[in-house]
Amino acid sequence: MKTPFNYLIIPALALMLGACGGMDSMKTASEPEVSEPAKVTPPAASRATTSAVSNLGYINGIRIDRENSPDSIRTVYFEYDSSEVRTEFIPIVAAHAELLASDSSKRVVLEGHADERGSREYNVALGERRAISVRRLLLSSGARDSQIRTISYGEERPAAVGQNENAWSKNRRVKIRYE
Amino acid sequence: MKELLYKIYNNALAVTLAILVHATVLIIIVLNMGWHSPEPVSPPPVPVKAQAVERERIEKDLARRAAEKRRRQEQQKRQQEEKRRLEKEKKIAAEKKRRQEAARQRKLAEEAEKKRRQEAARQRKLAEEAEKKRRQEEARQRKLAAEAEKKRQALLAKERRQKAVEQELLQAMEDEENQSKVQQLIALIQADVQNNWKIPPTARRGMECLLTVHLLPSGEVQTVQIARSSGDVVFDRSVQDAVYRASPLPVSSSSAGSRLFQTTFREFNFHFSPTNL
Amino acid sequence: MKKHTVILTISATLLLSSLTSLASRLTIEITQGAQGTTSVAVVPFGWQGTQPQPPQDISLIIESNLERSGRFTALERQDMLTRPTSGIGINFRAWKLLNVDYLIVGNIHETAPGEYQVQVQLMNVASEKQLAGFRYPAGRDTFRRLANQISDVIYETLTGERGAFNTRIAYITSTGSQTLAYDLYIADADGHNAQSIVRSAQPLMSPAWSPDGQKLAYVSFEGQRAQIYIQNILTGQRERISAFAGINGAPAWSPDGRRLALTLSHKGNPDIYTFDIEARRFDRLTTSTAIDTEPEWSPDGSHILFTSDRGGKAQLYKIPAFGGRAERMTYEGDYNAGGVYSPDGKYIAIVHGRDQRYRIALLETDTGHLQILTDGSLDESPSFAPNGRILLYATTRAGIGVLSAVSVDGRYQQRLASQDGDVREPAWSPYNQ
Repeated sequence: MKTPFNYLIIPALALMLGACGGMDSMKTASEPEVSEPAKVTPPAASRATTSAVSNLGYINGIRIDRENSPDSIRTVYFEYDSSEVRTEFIPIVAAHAELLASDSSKRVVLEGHADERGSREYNVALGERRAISVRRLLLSSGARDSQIRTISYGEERPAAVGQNENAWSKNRRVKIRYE
Repeated sequence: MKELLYKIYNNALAVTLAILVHATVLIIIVLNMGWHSPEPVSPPPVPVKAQAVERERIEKDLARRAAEKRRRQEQQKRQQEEKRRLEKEKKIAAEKKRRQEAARQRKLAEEAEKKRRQEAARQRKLAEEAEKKRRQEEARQRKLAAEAEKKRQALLAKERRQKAVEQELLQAMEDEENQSKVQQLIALIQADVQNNWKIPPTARRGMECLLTVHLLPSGEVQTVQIARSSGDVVFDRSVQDAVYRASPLPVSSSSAGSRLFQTTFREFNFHFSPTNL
Repeated sequence: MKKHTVILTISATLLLSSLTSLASRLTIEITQGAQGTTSVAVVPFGWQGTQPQPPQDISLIIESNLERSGRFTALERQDMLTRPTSGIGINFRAWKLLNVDYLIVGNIHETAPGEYQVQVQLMNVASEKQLAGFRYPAGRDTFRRLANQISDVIYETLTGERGAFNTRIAYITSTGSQTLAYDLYIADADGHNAQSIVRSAQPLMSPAWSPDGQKLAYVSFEGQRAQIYIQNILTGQRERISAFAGINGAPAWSPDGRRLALTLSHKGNPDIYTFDIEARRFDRLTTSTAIDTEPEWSPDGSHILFTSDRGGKAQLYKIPAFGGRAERMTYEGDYNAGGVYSPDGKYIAIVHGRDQRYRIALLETDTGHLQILTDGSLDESPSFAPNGRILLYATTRAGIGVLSAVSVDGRYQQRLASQDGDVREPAWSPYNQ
């Protein structure tokens, strides 16, 4: 039985394994949740995660606005043919919103992506819809409209190569990139 | 000796005569006495011997002989004269006879010639008559033959007419049978051509093409002519090719089939109009 | 060879017409035929020259072209009993036995160093006649083009349709592993003679030929923004058409070449717009809150096809080109997107998703009948040859994107000449260029 505390435990584990290896352990640890989204308990998530943010611009002590910060804290992953931000990513998006709200000079580009299935221009539209979902969440959490730009690459810039759900799940994403 | 021989020779005739007389006498005797001896009788040899003793007799004999000789000579002379006279007479008579005979012969020849001419004329006349007769006969024969031929022809014509009528009847009887045969062959040909028709991409519903084909008795396609074009080159070619590809077409080789071929399949049409487009 | 022989009732009749003597003959009605491929034998061309071999195997190029159309089956070379190089003295019966319908023979003569004369004859085996015969001069560099031209003449003579072998294709590639480089290529229709006309570190997408074949519209992400460009392929000059916030995508030329249809999302979500090139004016065509993208003009220019998920899932819709009510076109399957019209407007090729497989399908415009053409699982970007006979599309082979061609009857598939990297989004040029 998973609890909201999972969101604390996983990044902590990642940290213990080392910053460089963080991505790999993230993949391994988060995989069941990607493929089994039904097990996630949505209602209490938001409050629980918010409390997990120790201080501004950090999640569990890791900077979230750096290019070299782990993907796990700058990328939101999506279900197939869906643009809905999954509950487990809401605290991460919220942390970014708080950071943006605290510093109006900060700017983010939300890069929407899709997996390779289906037609390319439709995937561009899907990627954009995901970026807009994240943008909406950022705005509702205090970020200003002028701080956010969206772009969709559709399936043109895959994060993982491979014709399987493992790769596809990593490609259905919105990357939060600080300019 | 010579002299003797000469004498002998001179006496030969007398001797011969004597012999002849003797022989004749002998023959008469023999004939009268019958045949006692088969040996021929020959006169005894005359011995010639001069003997003084017998001089006189000899001289006498000689004189007799000389007289005999003279007499014989005279007789001979008379005989000869007589003979000459006789011969002369005979000659004259012969000459006369010869002349008479020549005349007779001439006359005969003349008569023969005359007869021959007459005969020739007669023969000519006969020949002419025969020729005339022959010609007449020939003409008559010709006339007869012509009439016979005319009759025969008329008969033949009649037979033919009859035969034609019979055939028509027969055909009429067979037609029903043939009709089904024709339908069978049409179905076969149709299937063959359809299987060989590759409908081109340009084919559209409503396109039509009429072809006239000429077949050899083997069913082999001799010519394929477009009687009415579809207006589309590729479509027209596709239907022509279909017929060529289907060659030889299934036309029956039986005798009935060969008549069907003559009447129906030697030259016929294909009408192409695709419906399943 | 697949043969569809539909057997209908035999309707042979003895037509006895009094109209013409012609019609008084027996007439056999033929209403059915076989809709199969045409069998050709492209005999290796004869060669007289200083080198052991001519610069290109012209007969092989012709054979490959004809087969790609799906209309032809070529006799294997090893099955040829004789290899004539001219139409004289051909034993047609022998070819008939091999079920060959048409014979293509020819020879190449090197007239001077690097100069050639190519003579070709097309023989009809059924009628034993020559259908076409021609002689071309060729240089070393024009050999492949010549082979494509010859293919066109043969194709047109035999099918009555214009050949599309001497046309070009555009497509996108991405190469590299860590940092990708993107290229927009133009190549011969068979994938040869590829030439990059745009190269970028950012994605390039959605090439679209202008109807005159002179220009390409495409999407570029240079500067990390989506923009639409129109580039003259001869001069290399280009102009930016649109660079709004959000999506600037899926450019499509109107049949008259005066307008572009495209997808813009600066008003909130992706919608279809038209852009008047001369007036430089955008007109919004759709206003739904759903995704509307991938516009495609109907060949008559009257309306625009597009992909929308307004019904919940991606499906095809069409809307009058100057605005109006959108009408849904597809209902089968979970996903139908990226529709493109065949040149005659009879078909729409789409990316059809069903059971987690994405394949190219043909939608019959009149009936709505859908026929799946390909058997990949990630097939996309269909593009018709200008004669509508072949569809080019992108698929994957061993995880890498490749281009493939399929005849519109689905009968023949052929992978195009390979390119480096991941290849996608083929776009077939129109005829006149």
